[in-house]
Amino acid sequence: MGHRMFKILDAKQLASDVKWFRIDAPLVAKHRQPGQFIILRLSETGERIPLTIAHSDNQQGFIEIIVKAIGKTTIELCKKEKGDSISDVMGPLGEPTEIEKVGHAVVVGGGVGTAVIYPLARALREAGNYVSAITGGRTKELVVLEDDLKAVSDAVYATTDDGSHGFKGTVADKLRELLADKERPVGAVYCAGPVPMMRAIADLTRESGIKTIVSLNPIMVDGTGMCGGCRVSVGGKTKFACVDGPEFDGHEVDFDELWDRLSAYRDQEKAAVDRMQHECKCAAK
Amino acid sequence: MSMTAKERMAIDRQHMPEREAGVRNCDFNEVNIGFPEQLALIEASRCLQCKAGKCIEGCPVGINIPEFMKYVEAGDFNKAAEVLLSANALPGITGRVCPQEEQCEQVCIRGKGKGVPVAVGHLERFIADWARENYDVKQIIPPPTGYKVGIVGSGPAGLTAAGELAKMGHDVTIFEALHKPGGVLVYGIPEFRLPNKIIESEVDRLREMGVKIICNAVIGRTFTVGDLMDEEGFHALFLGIGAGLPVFMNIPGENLKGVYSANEYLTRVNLMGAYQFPECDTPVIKGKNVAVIGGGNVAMDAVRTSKRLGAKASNLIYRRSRAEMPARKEEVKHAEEEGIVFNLLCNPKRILGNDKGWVKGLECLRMELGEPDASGRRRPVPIEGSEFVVEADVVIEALGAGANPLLTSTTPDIKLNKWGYIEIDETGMTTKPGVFAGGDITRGAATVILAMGDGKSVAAAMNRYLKEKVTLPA
Ligand SMILES: Cc1cc2nc3c(=O)[nH]c(=O)nc-3n(C[C@H](O)[C@H](O)[C@H](O)COP(=O)(O)OP(=O)(O)OC[C@H]3O[C@@H](n4cnc5c(N)ncnc54)[C@H](O)[C@@H]3O)c2cc1C
Ligand SMILES: Cc1cc2nc3c(=O)[nH]c(=O)nc-3n(C[C@H](O)[C@H](O)[C@H](O)COP(=O)(O)OP(=O)(O)OC[C@H]3O[C@@H](n4cnc5c(N)ncnc54)[C@H](O)[C@@H]3O)c2cc1C
Ligand code: SF4
Ligand code: SF4
Ligand code: FES
Repeated sequence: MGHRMFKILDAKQLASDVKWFRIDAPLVAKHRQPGQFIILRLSETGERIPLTIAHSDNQQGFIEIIVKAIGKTTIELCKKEKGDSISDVMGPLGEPTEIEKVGHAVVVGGGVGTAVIYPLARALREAGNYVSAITGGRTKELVVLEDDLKAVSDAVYATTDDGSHGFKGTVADKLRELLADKERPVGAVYCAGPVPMMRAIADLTRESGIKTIVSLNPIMVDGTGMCGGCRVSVGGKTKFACVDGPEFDGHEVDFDELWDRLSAYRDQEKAAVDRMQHECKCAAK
Repeated sequence: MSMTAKERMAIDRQHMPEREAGVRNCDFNEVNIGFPEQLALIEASRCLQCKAGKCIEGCPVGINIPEFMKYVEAGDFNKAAEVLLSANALPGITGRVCPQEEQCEQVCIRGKGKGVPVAVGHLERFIADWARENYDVKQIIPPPTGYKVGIVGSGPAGLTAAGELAKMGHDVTIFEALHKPGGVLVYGIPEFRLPNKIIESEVDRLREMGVKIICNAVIGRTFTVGDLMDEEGFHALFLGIGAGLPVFMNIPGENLKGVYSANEYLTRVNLMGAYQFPECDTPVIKGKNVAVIGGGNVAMDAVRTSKRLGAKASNLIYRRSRAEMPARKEEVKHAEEEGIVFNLLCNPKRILGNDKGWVKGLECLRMELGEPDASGRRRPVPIEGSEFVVEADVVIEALGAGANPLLTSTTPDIKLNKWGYIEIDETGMTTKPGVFAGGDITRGAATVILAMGDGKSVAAAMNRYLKEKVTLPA
């Protein structure tokens, strides 16, 4: 039918359930800026899911994504290898991050949220900021992109809840330390990760009023502002995260509502994964 | 074969065969079966071949209806198709979704007084379906003109403009944001009213004519209009981006789980195939008690869809009375037959939720009709203290659409009106030279046939513009 498929140029496992991909998508790469994402669909029957563009190259026409396998689509995607194809890749979507000179910029990533902060760290540093990056996970295995972050930041702090790697504690604990350092006052915080983590970070900076930008991850469908499914409450107003965001002022976001809305399809999501695992077992027999 | 007018007058309107209400409201197959040949011939013979051609004027694209009817009656379907396709590139679509009762059929002589108009729409559909199987479009594409034209959006406006411009020999590329072309025809209007295969065959025909279709390209993001004109070498653009912005009521409880805009609900079901979950990956919350707010085609589509997804009760909530419902009459009739409950003269006040964040009901106020408003319709006025609750675990807001700013916010040189729709001159050109627009993005949410009419007339204006204003390098 003349439909163009999107080829996976390279793939690499970063952790047991986190995978990096380089995808041939010249139109997306062309005008892409940090903070933007894609929506992809694996096949004719697939769901449309949003993923941050971690890196892109306009000359060579590729984009890179980092994916955590948590449900049907991301598990399927993470089984793909170099040479495989993806049916649809649309983008770049969302408003690019406003890159400003703030002096000391702290980027905070939890889990694959690190995929979001990685391009930010790079852009913030290119803009002349001193960049501290905090990347955290429950345990050593789940801290991703630490080396990549080192290449684009001035200081990198890995944190684990169990102390198996780097600083023992949460990313919020580490941020609290940095905020206390009078030598290098923090100008702004950029944060992406699970909702409870973003809420904790926003709570930490609320009193001091330090600018805190969070990258929200509501459920999306079209990504063009047509359906309103991605709506979030920010400062008491309804915003569509796919076109107005995904980044917002963390002090204004209604995290409870976002957290709750993310659970809307939990039953169906579980059914889809169970069914997929059942099918895999049957096929293996 | 020639009948007298009196004999013709004696023939009753033929009924469109439909699948039984209790069967069809459980699946997504088409409701109307289509005229068999015999009924088509009889129906066409009801036409009086009026000289005045009122019905032609009633059709926004001016199909020569009497001539069309003459050929159908004579069984010359080839000729009938020729007449039809010369004025309307997508008759299989308009024959199904045009609000005929307000257009061609409204002015049909046979509908005067107690009469019943000729079933123009049903016959249009009949010939279009016949043509899809049997009619060979001998499309003679003229030699390439060298002009490169871009179409943004693949709804009825964009598809029609693309076809017209390709026929003139221009090099045409369509940019579509979604993964599948067709606009509202594929993401909004359900399968049971307009099967996707009809749109697919239309899109395939465009491809055969050499039209390139690039999906997943969001203009305003992937490229801006400026990029397309200045860097990508397009000599002219047509913007047919529709009115893709959902309108919410701004009442309390809208962000509860189980509340949808009709756009989201219909997109999940139609474009993403959620009715086939888990065969298709996209889920939708089905709901036992569904309440749909609105009274237009969009509301009818949403409420009838909810029934098909297995709702026990599908309630329509509309603030005026039945006579004011803007939906096509056939849709209202079908909805009623399928067991949709109409709650008329009701206006939602707030959406109620349970302690888990899920919708549990819709609190409404009863209304009565007061004085006529600017539109001439009697204004609904709330009755104090008349609150009551409609039980609902899914609430769908189908209140119309606004202008989506995704593209226009990146084109400061394109002037918008105060509602955010694109302003155009009499030729269809925007305030940016070489950039034209049509369909819902210039009119506000309207109809398929008006969007197509725009696509056609603006394509002609674009052709003139290219030839007069754009000099190609030798
Ligand atoms: C702007 C944005 C950027 C993102 N960037 C990344 C990234 O770089 N790497 C990454 O691994 N993940 C990212 N995500 C999250 C990713 O989209 C979800 O993990 C994915 O959609 C899950 O789909 P699934 O079928 O695998 O899992 P499911 O089992 O369907 O869902 C698991 C959970 O993911 C969320 N989710 C489900 N469907 C969607 C959807 N259509 N849109 C958004 N969230 C959904 C829900 O919270 C759900 O409970 C991003 C999300 C957003 C909104
Ligand atoms: C549920 C529903 C039922 C309806 N029922 C009827 C009916 O029965 N009869 C009738 O006559 N009318 C009906 N209508 C109205 C009719 O569908 C519209 O008037 C018509 O589709 C408008 O056509 P269009 O080409 O202007 O835009 P659309 O059909 O809206 O198509 C616009 C296209 O442009 C794409 N697009 C938007 N922005 C961009 C961008 N920035 N870059 C690239 N692509 C973009 C969109 O994805 C979309 O595919 C209905 C509408 C809805 C929503
Ligand atoms: S296109 Fe619409 S208005 Fe015109 S004849 Fe056909 S059904 Fe009637
Ligand atoms: S007005 Fe009615 S009867 Fe007269 S030509 Fe048109 S369709 Fe036929
Ligand atoms: S995903 Fe549909 S409006 Fe944002």
